[in-house]
Amino acid sequence: MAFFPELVGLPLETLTQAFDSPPSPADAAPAEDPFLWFSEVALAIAQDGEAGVNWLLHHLPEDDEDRLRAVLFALSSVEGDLRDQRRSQLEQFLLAVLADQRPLIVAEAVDGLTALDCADALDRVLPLLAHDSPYVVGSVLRFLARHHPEKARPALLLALKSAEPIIRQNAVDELDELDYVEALPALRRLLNDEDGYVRQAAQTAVSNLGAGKVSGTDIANHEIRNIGS
Amino acid sequence: MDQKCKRAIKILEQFERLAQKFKAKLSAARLAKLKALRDSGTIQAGDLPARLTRAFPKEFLGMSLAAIRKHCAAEED
Repeated sequence: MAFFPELVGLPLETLTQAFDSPPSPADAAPAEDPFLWFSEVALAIAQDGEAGVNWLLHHLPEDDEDRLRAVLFALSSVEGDLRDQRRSQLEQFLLAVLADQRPLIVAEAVDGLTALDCADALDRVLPLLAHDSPYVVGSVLRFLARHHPEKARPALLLALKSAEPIIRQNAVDELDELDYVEALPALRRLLNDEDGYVRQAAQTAVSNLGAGKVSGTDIANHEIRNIGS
Repeated sequence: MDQKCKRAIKILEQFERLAQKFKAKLSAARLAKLKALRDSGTIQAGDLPARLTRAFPKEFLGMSLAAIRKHCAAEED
């Protein structure tokens, strides 16, 4: 079952009309997040191929945060030959968006760079680790973990101590993703975190990484000191 | 367990947390429906918004949570 079954099989013209219209009809999906609706519509447009990607690139809803986020998500989810052909253009587009003032737009752009395997965007992405928004910092941690694991490990260990639950949660998930067993002592401390979602992430990571694999090994403090180097 | 197995199971089990992590709010009605599918083991990646499943391992697309758990347990043995 699709998340919005009413979108399945629609022609491009109908999808673009839906994207330019108010969110999903109230009787179809009451109280759904508009971003989720627009991201599914935009993804369906992008999956139509060249024509869909071109339509999205020429209909950037700069002033509408939900729609712009959706476009960023959809364009960076393009796959196959089209992705290879347009990757450079999409990368330049996403890099330009990193200067946006809206944190969720910046986070979506960083996630897009991650999805398009733009590892060489490191110099542009890394400074955002100091961004005020936990969602932006979380996206940078995901970028680092996917494309620069050697830089990610100390950043992730430091992020476990963040005052922001979203950042701690991201750090836990990425340490789990990196299979970083040495982080187990630090992860175990988050089993009693004040935030329920952080506790859930930590329980999963500790279970996945395997309690008992590390005995007496503490956090690699030298890596923390080397963050960003 | 294989990393792809862990990731697939995490996404299908912890969609509520992951949605919050991506600042994508699921409605109460949608959450109730997804939790019922999860608890019965029948939830699939296609039931979730694409924003949560971009990193979902392609080899598990179309498989239910129960089927993925069974497959991954067998791989481990």
